[in-house]
Amino acid sequence: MIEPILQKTPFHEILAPRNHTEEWERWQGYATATRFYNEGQEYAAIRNSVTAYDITPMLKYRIEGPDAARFINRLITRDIERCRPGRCFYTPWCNGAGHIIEDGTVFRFSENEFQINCAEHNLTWFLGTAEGLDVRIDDVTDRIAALSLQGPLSRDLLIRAGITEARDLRYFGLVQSQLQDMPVTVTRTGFTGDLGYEVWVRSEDAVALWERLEAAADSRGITPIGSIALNIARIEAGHIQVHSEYPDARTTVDLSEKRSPFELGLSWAIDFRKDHFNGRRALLAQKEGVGPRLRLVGLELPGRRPAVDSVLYSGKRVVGETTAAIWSPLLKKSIALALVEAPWATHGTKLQAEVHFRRELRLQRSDEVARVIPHRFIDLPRRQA
Amino acid sequence: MTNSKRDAVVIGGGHNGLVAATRMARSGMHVVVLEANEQAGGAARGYEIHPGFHLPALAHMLPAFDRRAVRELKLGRYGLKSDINEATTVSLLPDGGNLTLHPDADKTAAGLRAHSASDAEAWPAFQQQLRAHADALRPLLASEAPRLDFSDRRNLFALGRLGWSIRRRGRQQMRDLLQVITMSVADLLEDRFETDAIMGALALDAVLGTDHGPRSPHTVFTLLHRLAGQLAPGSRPAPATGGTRRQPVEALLEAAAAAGVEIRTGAAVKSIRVEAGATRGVELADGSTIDSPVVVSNADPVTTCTELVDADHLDADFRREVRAIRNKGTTGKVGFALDRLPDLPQPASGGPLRWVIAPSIGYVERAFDHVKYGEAVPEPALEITIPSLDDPDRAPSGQHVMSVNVAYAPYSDSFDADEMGKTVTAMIERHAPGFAQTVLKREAWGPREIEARFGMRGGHWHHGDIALDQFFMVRPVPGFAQYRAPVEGLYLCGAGTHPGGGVTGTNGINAARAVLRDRRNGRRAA
Repeated sequence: MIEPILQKTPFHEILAPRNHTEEWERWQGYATATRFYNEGQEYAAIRNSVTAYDITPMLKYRIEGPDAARFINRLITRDIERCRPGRCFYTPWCNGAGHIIEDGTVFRFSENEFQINCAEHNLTWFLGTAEGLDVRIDDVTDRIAALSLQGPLSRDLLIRAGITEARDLRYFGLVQSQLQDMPVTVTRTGFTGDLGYEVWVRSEDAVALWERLEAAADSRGITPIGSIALNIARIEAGHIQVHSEYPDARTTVDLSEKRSPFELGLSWAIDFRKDHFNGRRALLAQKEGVGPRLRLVGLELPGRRPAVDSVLYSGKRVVGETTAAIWSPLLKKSIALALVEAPWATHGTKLQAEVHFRRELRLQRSDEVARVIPHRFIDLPRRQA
Repeated sequence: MTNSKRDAVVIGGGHNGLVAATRMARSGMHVVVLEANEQAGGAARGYEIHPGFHLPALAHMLPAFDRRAVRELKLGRYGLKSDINEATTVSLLPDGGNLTLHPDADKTAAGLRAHSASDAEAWPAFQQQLRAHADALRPLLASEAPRLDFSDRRNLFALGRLGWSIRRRGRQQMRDLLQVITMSVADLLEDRFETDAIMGALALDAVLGTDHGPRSPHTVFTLLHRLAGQLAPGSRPAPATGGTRRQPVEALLEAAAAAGVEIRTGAAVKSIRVEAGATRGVELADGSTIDSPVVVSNADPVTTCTELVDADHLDADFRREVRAIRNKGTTGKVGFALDRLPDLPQPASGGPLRWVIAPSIGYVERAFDHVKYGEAVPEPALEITIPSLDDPDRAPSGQHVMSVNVAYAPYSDSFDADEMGKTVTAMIERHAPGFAQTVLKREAWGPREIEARFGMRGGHWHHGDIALDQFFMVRPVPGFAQYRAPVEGLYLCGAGTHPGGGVTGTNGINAARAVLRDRRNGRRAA
């Protein structure tokens, strides 16, 4: 008998009985839920109550030591000195050619203690960057369990569960708390564009955390969500994702497929005022050069069909393609993230999108007019309030 | 602490450093060369092994000096020309006999006939083919390697020119070159010849100074690399009438002085100062600093980019690439001061003579097996020269100096170089009875000693192995083959850059040209 290939997260015993569809998918060697019952209902819970998404498979790196901040500044494109202890921030990081490797969040627990969270393995890259520095870098992925609580009722849930610090926790804030003998870290971060928190505990405390939260939720309940519902929310929020909007530069062979942060709308996240960091030189040349070839944009399209994998035309010329597309339940329209050649990436530009779909089994194509709009499709005040 | 200002600082006074410095100074730049040793010249300089006995420190077979360097530095005025006489090689065989490889193919073939009629017949065509391939490669060796950037016109032109230099020689030759260049030299030779002696001698030429054995892949390439460097394109033979060839370092030192280059010896550089991605100068070991917007490093790329420049200023992937450069030296060197000329066969020749002990491919490959595992080699292959034959001033009248390259010697702490010296003495004694008694002084260096003495990491002649994956556009590392390090104002000019080692000055002249072009364009080094 072949053993199961995928590992189970510490929340698996809680989540498996609730997964009525039994639909699981791979995420860094772990089984993660695709959908629990109905993605529409799961999505609705993100925007209307409180949801839980098991983010344990996310790679988590603990960074400690006298040179920890110096290491992080060599790595990332933003300046870690803009992130005080007790805060987090979002940042991309690049290779020497100024191509994006990944984006993720950095937690700053204290002057010299950090955690970096990302989707891909980065240990070798981090160790290479840390050369000569007095810093310890540990992959703590399997030691820390994490749950993303997203939705307008998430704050209320945390307070009722006894994490009263959530009341005053600001957007991208971080707090280390204690529930009886269980150390809990709460960050006001997420991937949904909604009010939300991520809760981090030791792996062995995962089940206890869930029970605690469930008891606090009482009859209101917590809706566990799968990746489909999350993807709808993240596209609405305009969050980019590795392997969707950009590939990992380290494993991409075709140079023209590698993306720069300028192309992905991340120029705000590059801080040239600080000293050298990986890719600084190349990024500076990009900045002073002719400008990015492609740009990340949002598209809105008529009809209900999502423009998945659509080629975008201006007249007969191919000027881009969509990277992710959904029908947005919040906006009540078809939207897509797309990479478009810079001259066509200005707001209001109309492009033709080749939308493929099947009627019965026949592959059909309809050409829809796609209008370029900002890729942050929604901006919910409660996200930051 | 003292502080001074220059237009350019050159770290290391090897021949390439001197060429680069002189070229820059001739364009009006105020240049200082900082040499850690007490004497400039690096591996190409001479040293006194015994009172009155002068030996080339490391490079005892001189390839043709770069013609552009000779022209642009007016080295002719100081007696240095790019002319060269091809060496005659005497392969000493275990039975006491020998086989001589003359520059002239028919002469070689005549000698070969005693060993094998078919080899004698094959030799002239083979030599012609090797030379044609070396000619095809030569344009790649002389010029700056282009970048793989098709949007830059100048670059595209360079790529096209190089492609054409190979293609214009005809489809047949191009096909043949592409086929043989990745082969092991052993496979190529065994396909053509049956005489061990001729195969052993050529096999040694293919691997000497590299971390390869004759059965390693693409050692045909290393052989062609060596041939292309040794024979200047269309060069006239130097006058055969005993006219001594000027030592490049002496000529370079005079040319440098005339151009106004300041040379400081005993001046070790501790670090290259970088601020906001731009070179600001250097800090010396004595704590003093020199401000300069341009620093040209004649040190090897690994030392330059991992020791002299702080890791803070370089991208992690660049540093990783630099650290991955294979630069383990495998060649030993033994120098002798001799009371009289050893009794080695001396065929009449118009040019320099050398003797090799490499009687077969298997002999060289077995020697390589030892060094592959870090062991001393009980029976190494040797390349022997007697520099005082060409230049009697090197030793008192009637006496001589001998320089021996030893393939191989391991880069290892436990290696006993003097033991190697004894082995070499005994080996030569077998071919030149009485030799051991004539030795007045012997000095033997393994790669560790060479590393310490010349500041070349790994003790590797070429500052990084010669191999197809460390050559041309990817030398020293991919994307940085144009003599520019990824710090504004920092340049590399040593053997670790394209086209590798050998006392040609090509690296130095190309690096200086890169500096001058960037200055002209007011452009950041790309």
